[in-house]
Amino acid sequence: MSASCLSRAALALLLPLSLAACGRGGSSGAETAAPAATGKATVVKLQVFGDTAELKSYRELIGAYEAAHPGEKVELLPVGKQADHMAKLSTAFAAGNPPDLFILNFRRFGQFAAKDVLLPLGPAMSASGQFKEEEFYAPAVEAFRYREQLMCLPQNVSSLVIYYNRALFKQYGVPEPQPGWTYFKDLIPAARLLTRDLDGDKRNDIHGVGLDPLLIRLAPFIWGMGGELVDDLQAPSTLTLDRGPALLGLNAVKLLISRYRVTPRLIEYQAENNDARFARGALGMLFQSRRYTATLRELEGQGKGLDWDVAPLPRLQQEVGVLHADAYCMARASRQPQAAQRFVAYALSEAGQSILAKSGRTVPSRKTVAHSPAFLDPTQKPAHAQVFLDAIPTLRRTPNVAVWHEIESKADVLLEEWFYEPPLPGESDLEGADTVLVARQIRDATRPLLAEDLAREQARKAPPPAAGGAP
Amino acid sequence: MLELHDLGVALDGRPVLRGLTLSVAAGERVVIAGPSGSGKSTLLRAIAGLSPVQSGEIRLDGRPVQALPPGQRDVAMMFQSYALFPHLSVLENLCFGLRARGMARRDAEDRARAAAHTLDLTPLLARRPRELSGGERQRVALTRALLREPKALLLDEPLSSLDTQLRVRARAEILKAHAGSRAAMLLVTHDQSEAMALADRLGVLHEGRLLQLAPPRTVYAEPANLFVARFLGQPAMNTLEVQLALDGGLWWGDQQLSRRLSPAPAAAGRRLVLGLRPEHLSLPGSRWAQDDPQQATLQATVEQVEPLGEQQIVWLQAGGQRLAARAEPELRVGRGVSLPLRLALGRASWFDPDSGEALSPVRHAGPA
Amino acid sequence: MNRLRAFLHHWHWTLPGLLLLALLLGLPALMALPLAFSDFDGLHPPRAVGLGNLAKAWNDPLFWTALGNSLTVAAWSVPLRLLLALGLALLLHRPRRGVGLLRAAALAPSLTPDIAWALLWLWILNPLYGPFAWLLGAFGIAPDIWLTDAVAARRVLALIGLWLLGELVVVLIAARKEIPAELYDLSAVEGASAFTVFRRLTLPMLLPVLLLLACRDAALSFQTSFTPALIITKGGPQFGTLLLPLYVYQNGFEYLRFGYAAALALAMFAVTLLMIAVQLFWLRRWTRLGG
Repeated sequence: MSASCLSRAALALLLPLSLAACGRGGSSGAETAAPAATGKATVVKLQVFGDTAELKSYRELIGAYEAAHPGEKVELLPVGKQADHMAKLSTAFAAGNPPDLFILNFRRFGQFAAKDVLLPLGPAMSASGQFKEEEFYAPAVEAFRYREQLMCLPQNVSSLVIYYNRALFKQYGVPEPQPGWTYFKDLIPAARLLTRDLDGDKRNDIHGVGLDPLLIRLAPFIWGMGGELVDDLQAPSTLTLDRGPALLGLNAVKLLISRYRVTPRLIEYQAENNDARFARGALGMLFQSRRYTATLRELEGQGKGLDWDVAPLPRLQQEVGVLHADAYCMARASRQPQAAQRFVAYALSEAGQSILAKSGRTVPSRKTVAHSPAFLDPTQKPAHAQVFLDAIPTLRRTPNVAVWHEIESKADVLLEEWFYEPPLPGESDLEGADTVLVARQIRDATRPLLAEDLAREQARKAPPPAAGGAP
Repeated sequence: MLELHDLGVALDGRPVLRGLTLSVAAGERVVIAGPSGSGKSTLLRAIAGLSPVQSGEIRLDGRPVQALPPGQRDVAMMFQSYALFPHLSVLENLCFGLRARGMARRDAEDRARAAAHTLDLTPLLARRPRELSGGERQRVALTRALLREPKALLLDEPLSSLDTQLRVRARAEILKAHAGSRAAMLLVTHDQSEAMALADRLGVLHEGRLLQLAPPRTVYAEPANLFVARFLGQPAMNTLEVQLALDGGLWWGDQQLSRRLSPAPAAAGRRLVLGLRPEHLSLPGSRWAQDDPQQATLQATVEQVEPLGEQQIVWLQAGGQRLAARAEPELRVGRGVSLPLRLALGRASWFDPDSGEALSPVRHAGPA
Repeated sequence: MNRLRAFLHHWHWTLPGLLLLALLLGLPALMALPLAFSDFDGLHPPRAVGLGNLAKAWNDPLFWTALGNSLTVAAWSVPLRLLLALGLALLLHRPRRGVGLLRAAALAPSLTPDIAWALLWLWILNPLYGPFAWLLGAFGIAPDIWLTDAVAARRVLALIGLWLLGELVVVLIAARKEIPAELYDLSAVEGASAFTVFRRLTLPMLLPVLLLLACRDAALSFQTSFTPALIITKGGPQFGTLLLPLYVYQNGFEYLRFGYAAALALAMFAVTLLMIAVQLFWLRRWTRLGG
């Protein structure tokens, strides 16, 4: 008796799960769900990542939207870190239940764009007149174009700049950065003047400059010396860090630690990251993007504010910046594309962009808002917010192949090691033998990834009729 | 020679042994019997050094040992569970003590093999304890305990985990194993027949006190007090509360059991407890009836008969009290029959009803 | 029917737990199996690739690095953890004043969410401000050695894993209490030294349990080392702490190679099975020899 009872209970437990499993297997991802015109009030799901301040401004944006459009509902799915955001997103897609809308960083965009799971928002919203490309900054728009289609609509157009501690500059009589300043003649001398051992323990208490040795941070150095990251931005087959000009760019960065010793050593970097060090007032200059502004403003709110400002990236041979941009993307599987597009239209409108701009975290992608007081608020630091806008015409971007994120994470491991390792024995730091070595290592470690990606891409293009056959 | 003098042991602040004095000569077997909780195991553990001693002295061949750790006392102990190492073979178990004391493996094994031969353990040497029967385990434990030729051998309920069948044989094994040894053997048990069978001298322990210590026959025949009297014997001794009249007559309630007792166990007019073993009550016609000059007769009704094979126990009812009598198995006894029961008063034990101490002059072989 | 009833009689206490386990672990694991033989990015329907993923793993130097790292960390942490747990269990098995508190302290790290203690370790290991740096400094070792030296980093990871010995201690205390007290009494009377008692009595009696725990711990260490490798050493330096589960996680949830990740997980499962099989073989031998 108890036997049948138990087995029945077991069956009852197992059944829904196995059904769910079947369902999951059957409808995974790629199928296009027909938009269900329900007519009833629908809820648009929006998944974003960011810290509390950032999430707060998203809530504000949604509140304003719902107030302006009675009957519309948007549900925010907040995630703390970008990595978790991506994991949650990919599992949601795998489960066939992606959010209608989500934010994608341009360096992760390729992962999704290549898979044909995004509904191209550009064509859809241009057709309905909800989006006019020319009202937005071109580099941001271009970053989200995939095979000639504008997949996602840029929400911001940030870039790498120099944050500097004005108080330290004044204290040690260092001239503040001027527009058009250069790396070797201006930044490095300033960094050397700022680097100080205050208590005489042979350990620097203030460092001139901080730079996270990541591929995305090193890219402007490579470009600035006339080098390239990849052989072909549209269809890259290899990284090209090992080619002459790129090597010079890498070596220029390495000199910060190997020759001039103006940046924290590994032990110091591991003990306290550059962001925290700058916030503590122990770093003269920091290479960072727009997001860091919000952190510094928050510190001001806590009464621990610094006297700081931003400056453009110093010039090497060419004036160049690196794009940082996020965009609103929409899942093909969305059941309410119209409602979702209405929200995107609002978020990209002047009203919507102003709300996010006020958080300080983003450089608005809409030109009019970028030039409005919502962004260039003279009462708020940084005083030279214009620097972000001036950089926009020089911005370059990384390729948006699907494996780009993986390439960066592989390269970053090697780059960090290279940056903090002393030069090879018997080698002068100027010759940069170790730089050549790491550039080749990175090239070799990432080449199979690019080859795989290229092969997949070609397989997609090549077989015209018999698609989806056996491997 | 094992000597205990005025030994006091307490566990968790509760006194377990009080003022215990006892000596066991080399080669002698002393058995301490007592009900569970009387402190028997504690006594052995105190001697072995496993329980701390609060007062008194323990001497082995004249040397005080109570301050020494167990391993340096030169005693051996056989535990109730036999404490054989399950992961070691019989041979390794036997050698354990010798090896622990640093004897070379070869020597230890030679000695173990020789000892094993005496108790027929030779074919078992390679086995592990779980492959042995209960009796074999007991022999291994016994052999191991004696192998070191200790000054004292302590046995804690050595037969309690054996079947009844095996016990008689195992008793013989113990006697055989100890026969050639000079060890002073102290065995504790709750089983009276085991105690009687193994003891040169038998002690009865109750609530931490040694009530009597004497050869087993003496303890049986002349118990020092009511507790000892009732503890030994199966069924237990019959006890009747009686009174000595002023004229010397013995009265049990309103029945006169005897007109006159000589010698009188106590002063006239006293209340007494009369103790009679079942074999001292005889049924009419029984060939087991004992000749006794001081026979008394009591009318009793047969209540129940337990035929035990070699004897029968007859339970009788008289004056509202149950009495047990022993008789030969052939005697025909009908239930419910009223019959004159004969009491051998000359062999009776007499006790003070208040203190329970024996009144008749008993030979008390106490501390030497 | 009778057999079923007998089965249920034996199993009805564990059955709910087993069912739950089957539901939450067994079923997903089973469903991951076909994934290992397909190319699946979570976005497109899975495409069968046969043994392609396994072949790819075979040729993937990082897979071998990760496997080697995982085995090295296990080879360090499992015996050390067992040894430490054994020592603690032998110290703590006797009821004494304050022992309860110490037992709780030994168990506490295992009950703390691993993310919490990983973050705590991050502070302990901080090369400038952490106590570990101070300790290393006192021994004349560079306090950032675990950040630069792959071997040192793996040892640090194994060291962190040592603190997860609570359950081992609990099981060993129970096992130690199972050893009859009379065997210890006998050893004392026979004059055995503390070392002899440990070597001839305690250790052999605990051996089956120790071996069983070693099996379990080896399998588990593949998983428990994941969080510290992710949070504290982040797989570095020089991929020195790139452990197999971390590599599986990265492939699955960061690079969206679910198929490849499933294949790697399958390989990890096979290695775990192999390790357990080897240890069970020894366990069998020992228990046949021992009690």
